[in-house]
Amino acid sequence: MSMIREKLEQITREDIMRFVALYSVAAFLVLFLVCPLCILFAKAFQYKDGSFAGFTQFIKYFSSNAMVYSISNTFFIAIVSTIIAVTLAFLFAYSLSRKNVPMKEFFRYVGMVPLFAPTMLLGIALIYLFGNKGMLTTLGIQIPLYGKVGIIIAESIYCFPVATTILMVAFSAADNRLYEAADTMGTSALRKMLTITIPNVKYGLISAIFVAFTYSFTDFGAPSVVGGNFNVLATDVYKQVVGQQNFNMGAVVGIILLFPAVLSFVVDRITSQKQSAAISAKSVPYQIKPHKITDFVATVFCSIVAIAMILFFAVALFASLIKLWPYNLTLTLSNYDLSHVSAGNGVIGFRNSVLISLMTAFLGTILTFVGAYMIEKNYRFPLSRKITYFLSIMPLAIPGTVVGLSFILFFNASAFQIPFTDYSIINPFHSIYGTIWIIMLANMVHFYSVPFSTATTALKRIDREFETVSESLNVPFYKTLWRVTLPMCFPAICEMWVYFFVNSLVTISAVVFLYFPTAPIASVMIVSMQGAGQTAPAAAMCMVLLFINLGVRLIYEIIHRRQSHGI
Amino acid sequence: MSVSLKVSDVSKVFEKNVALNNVNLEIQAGEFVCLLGPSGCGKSTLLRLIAGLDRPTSGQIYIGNREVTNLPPSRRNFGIMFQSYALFPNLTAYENVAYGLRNKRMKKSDIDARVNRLFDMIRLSHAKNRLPAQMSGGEQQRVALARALATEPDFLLLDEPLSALDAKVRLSLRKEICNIQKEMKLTTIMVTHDQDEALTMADRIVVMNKSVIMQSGTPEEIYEHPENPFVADFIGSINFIDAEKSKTYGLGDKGQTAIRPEKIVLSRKESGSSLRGEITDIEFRGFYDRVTVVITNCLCGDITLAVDVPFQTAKYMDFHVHESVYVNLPKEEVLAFE
Repeated sequence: MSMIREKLEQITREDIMRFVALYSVAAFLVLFLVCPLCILFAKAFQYKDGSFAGFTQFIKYFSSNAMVYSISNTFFIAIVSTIIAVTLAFLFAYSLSRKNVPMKEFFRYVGMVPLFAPTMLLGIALIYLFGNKGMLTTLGIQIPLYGKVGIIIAESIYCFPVATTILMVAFSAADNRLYEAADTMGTSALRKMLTITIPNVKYGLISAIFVAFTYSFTDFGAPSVVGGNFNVLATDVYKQVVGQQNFNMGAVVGIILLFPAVLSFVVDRITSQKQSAAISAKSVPYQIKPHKITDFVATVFCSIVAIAMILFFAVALFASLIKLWPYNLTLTLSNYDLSHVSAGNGVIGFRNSVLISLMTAFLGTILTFVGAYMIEKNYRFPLSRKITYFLSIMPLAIPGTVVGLSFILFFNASAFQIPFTDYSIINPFHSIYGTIWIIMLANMVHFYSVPFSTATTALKRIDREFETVSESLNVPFYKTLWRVTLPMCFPAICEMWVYFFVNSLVTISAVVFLYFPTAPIASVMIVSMQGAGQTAPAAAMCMVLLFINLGVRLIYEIIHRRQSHGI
Repeated sequence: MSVSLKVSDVSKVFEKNVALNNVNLEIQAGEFVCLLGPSGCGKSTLLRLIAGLDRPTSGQIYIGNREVTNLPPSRRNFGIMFQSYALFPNLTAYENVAYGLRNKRMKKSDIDARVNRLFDMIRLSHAKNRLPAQMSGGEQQRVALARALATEPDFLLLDEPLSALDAKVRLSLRKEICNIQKEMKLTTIMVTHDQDEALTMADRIVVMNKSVIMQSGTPEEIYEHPENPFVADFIGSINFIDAEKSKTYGLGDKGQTAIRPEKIVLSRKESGSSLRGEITDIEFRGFYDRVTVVITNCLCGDITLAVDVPFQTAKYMDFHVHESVYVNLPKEEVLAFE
């Protein structure tokens, strides 16, 4: 009896709360990340009837000409888009961080705008510019838009902001003393570039290349709009699963899509560790020295990028504001009346999208923060913390298409048969299939890692003795979390919220699989409207989503600035 | 309220690393004990085990007569101070001190009275409403002390509390902590790697090295009668003379001997047991000169001794490099290690 009492005395209520919090996060990730992926793997090795297939599905896939064609197409697209996007991003980031360019803030924001729009918007703008009756086509500038050219342009723009962000961080970590030392030795500009600048941003560059490659390798939005008959893997999965209801073959393609993402993930892990070690606390920030010619070239370059970017979005805006291109150019707002579009009631879809994004942002922020907190500020359950950490960064390696595919496989099944037995378990989550909640869950999983890392970084900056002090004062951890940790992490929490919201609103790759006519959402409606030839209303819907996202971001910037001024 | 502490046969193993190896320690109620040792000796690990932040691999820990080995920190009733101050940056000094009280069912006026009393004690009543960022390091650490004392702990744990401070502030805070500790008769354990801090503050010093306790005793005992070469070397300066030479010179025949530089007397006149040597170096050290003397002996090799000569004496004697002197090693000051 006294033994039991002694044991009970050693377990506090707080320990139980910590236990519940950590394992809730872990359970979420196991249920909605690990389980669906397991089902995906299982399906790839099964025939349609559920019997074991081994590698036959893979062999069948690779022996089909059409499929091999898709793979080579996808690689071609991804490689060319990566080269274009990273080259432009490198020059753009270099100009903004190392040259005297005016209006840097403006250029930086303009370069980021594609992040806030659905990729379909880029496709639509391209059609208006270079399509059969496009503005530039009629002026005599003709390019074979539908197919690889269109996809490559769209993917390049899509990857540009991410690559720029990564490279800006890499360029900002420079030690001016190295440049001063080089100057005292009379080193030429080219030699400084080759021996100091490039080695310094090496890891950022590698990371940008892999991220851009993965983005363009797995993207669904752009190929679905301007792809024409040019098949890529992401659209193949969709056709296999949604078109032909061949889930097993879809799973095979999904696994192939995982490869570059997993590789990119591993490379990113390795390089980010090396990057952080490269710069010491003693480093002196880079001092920009005026240089008339190169400063001018850099400014011209940034202006061209900005003008091109603005042009794209202006064209999309224009497309949404005219009656019928190119026959009736009257300005109208009728395209913004979304209640009668081909895909159904656009207002409902739009409302669902906003609701999903709000819920994803709200629940996702809480979940990722609690997860990061329990991993970072808690010394109990070391093994479970390590595993949960790994699961938390794993979504980085899972492309949206694969998230969507594994979700449909997981939630669609009303029961799971336990392999090699006659027993089966009823799927308790089957009931949310076909509702907007499955989309919310998919978004939470798909976008989990970045906010998780934001929270982890913010928590790492806070003295780890705070928890010890409050324990010694017999103040429960949740009170310290509420009174100290949360207020100190407020900027990070806002950033996490915005990330979840912005991405959930425009994402297409995962949700296209989970779309159900009873629960329509805006981004999928855009694809189907565009497919039905309703390009102008599709453009209008893209613009509305873009404006909402820009608005949210603007509010965030205002709050953020107030905060940093206040302190 | 003050309690005794007891650590009994405690070991702590991290993966393959032995951080503490069978450590035994008893601390009287009201005693101020310093855990002193080089980094990695296990002193911080021992503090964390006493706080309950880690669990020992084996052995028991007692607070008073109660075994607490597996008790969580929140049930051990102690106060703690860190090198980093660990003040909550978004709360005022007042709220930091009141932090642990807000959680108890205390009347607001009682909290107010106690917090104000603590601010009087640390002489910072004027700075109650400042945020930590608006205070100096020394002020922040005093607030941290007040916060640790606010909940009337049974004992106090200090983890290198003065290491991040400027030399001057450090000296005044040493006194302040000692005075408060004596006044409250609060059992206190301080971890430090600074021997001056340990010598001036502690009732008892526990010297640790490589996961074990090397010696435990009052500052005088530790300094005057170190039990082993490590303790002798770690605290203060010392000249070691190996066993063979010790025997030759008649300093001891059981093994290595040692003598502190300030215990050696230099003179120009030969006396009974003095040895002849040559000055090879004189270093000015402020209130004393560090004189290096080499005693040449063709039988068993040279002995190099560091000798501290007080400033006044040095001025009067006016030694020079390359000069011959006589070295006196008083028998009672020679330490012998077996």
